[in-house]
Amino acid sequence: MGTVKVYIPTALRQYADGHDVVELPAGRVEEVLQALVQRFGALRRHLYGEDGRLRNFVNVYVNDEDIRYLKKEETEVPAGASVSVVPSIAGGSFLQQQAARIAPPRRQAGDLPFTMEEIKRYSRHLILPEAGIEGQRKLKEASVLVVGTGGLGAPVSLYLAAAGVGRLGLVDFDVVEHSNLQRQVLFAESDVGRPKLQAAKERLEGVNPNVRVETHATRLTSENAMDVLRQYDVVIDGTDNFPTRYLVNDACVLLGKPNVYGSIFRWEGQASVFWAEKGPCYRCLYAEPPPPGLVPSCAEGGVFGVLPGIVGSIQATEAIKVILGKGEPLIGRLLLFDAMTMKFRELKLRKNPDCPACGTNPTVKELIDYDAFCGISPHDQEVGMEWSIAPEELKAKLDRGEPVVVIDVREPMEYQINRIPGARLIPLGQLPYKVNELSTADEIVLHCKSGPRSATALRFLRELGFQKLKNLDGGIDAWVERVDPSQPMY
Amino acid sequence: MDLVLPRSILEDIRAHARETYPEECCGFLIGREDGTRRVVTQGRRARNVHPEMREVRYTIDPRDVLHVDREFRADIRHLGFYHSHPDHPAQPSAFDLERAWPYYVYAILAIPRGEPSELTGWLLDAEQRAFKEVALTIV
Ligand SMILES: [Zn+2]
Ligand SMILES: [Zn+2]
Repeated sequence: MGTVKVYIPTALRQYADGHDVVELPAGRVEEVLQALVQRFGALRRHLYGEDGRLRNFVNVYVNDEDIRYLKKEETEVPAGASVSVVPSIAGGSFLQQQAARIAPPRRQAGDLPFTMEEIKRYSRHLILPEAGIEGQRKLKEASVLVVGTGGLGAPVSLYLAAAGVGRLGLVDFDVVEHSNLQRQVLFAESDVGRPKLQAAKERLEGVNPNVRVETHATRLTSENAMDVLRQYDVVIDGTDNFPTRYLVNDACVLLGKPNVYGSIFRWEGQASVFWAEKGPCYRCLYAEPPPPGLVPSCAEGGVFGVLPGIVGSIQATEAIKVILGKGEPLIGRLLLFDAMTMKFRELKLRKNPDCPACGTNPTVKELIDYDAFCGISPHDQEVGMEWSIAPEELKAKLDRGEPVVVIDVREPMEYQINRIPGARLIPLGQLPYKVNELSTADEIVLHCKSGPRSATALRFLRELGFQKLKNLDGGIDAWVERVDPSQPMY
Repeated sequence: MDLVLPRSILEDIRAHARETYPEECCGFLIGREDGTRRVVTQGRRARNVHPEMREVRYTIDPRDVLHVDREFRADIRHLGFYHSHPDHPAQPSAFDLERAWPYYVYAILAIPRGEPSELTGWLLDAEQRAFKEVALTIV
């Protein structure tokens, strides 16, 4: 049997591995198209509706004939013929009353690059000697990418939008959760459950409709980071994990962009401006990430809710100074802040000539696999089926009175919120010192909030020779959800 | 993604919109991809074959789409479409969104009272099913 050529329009090539034409066995149109979506699964939802029928807005041509005027999907496609998938193109404008449709033209303020409204809005900047009309124009022409719209991203993006940065890019893929509201001041109670980017865009455009908010609803990866970061003048690191932090740093070094860094943990924060052309980069400071599991995240260790407001405001300040070209930026300086003692300290940072990213002989010439670099392999999060136990199974064991030793490796504060009855608290960091209190003869079940910390604990104990170990699948979150909903979740 | 549009093509689109006013005009944007930019090198008019209410609706003759798609599939390729919004702002309508395809850039020209004004460019975010405005550079 011969073959036919199927032409893919530019709109759909991204779902067909970039192919513009595909050869498939001859047959009826429906057979040819089925073979097509079988080969490229991502194409299916663009060609077929949920009912499994060809979508209305897809036209199919065999040679130059619309199959609607032939035998529809029964149409035979002889060998050597061509099948074209052609998007149906339509659109329009609005159906309301004519008069209300056009907003009044915005009044330009004389020769100034601002509207009358903008002049009023930015007046406190315009009369500020270091900003002025020239500075405000720079802000309007500038673009800033905020990586992460969490604790740091919230104040940074609010202040940058209010200040009139022309284009603000946001990268995130999370939805708003209740536990975010304690510090992520971008979001309201009513946003819980919504994609963060959607809620953030609305809020920021509400603060300043002159700002163009661009959303990148994705995890930043080695594949897409260069393309995303390239579009902006300044990058703000508001991430909460090491792989993304190194990724942002390396991409900024490769692209020559300033990286306004901030990080927070419990009551302490850090900030700096890493700009390889003018000073050190993050890798000059920390050439390699800490071993996985050693440095707890904010989700594990807690964070003072006002802290990101302070550190994020410092990042916004530095970004604006970089755009204005005024003042002394935090280049080559690491600012350390302790909210408990209310003290700022400053460390001098030097550019490391041996820095793998920005040194004299850099080895980082393109983006790498940052999960692997940070020692996080996909199966690190898990410990394997034979090492895990479901909450229901643990409950049954405890109910039967089996001698199971339950070890909670969370922090004391977490233990006060919820716990498994009879569980013994040994925070992960103390496990090495308390290991002699455990017996290899006992059956031990480890748990944390959702699983990763107890998986680290399990691997640690396993290497010491413990065999009768289980990791509670899904942690106390799953326990509360599935076994004991009377306890609160955090 | 940035859209680069030569002034001469912008003028053609504006002229097209004037001619069809108060009905919507529509057409193709053809050109090349250049990194994150799309550079339009050619515009091509299409017929608005929408059966009624062409003041607020357009449909491009599917055979025109077929021919453009066939003709421009290599380095110079079919990048998207333009259409006019007579007496409406250059913002995509709900109907534009409903009928939008991924990848294509949709340029919208506002033409209040028969005189073309703002042109904007839009790209479908297929995951979020929302339009994202693209930066437009006139060269
Ligand atoms: Zn429209
Ligand atoms: Zn460096």
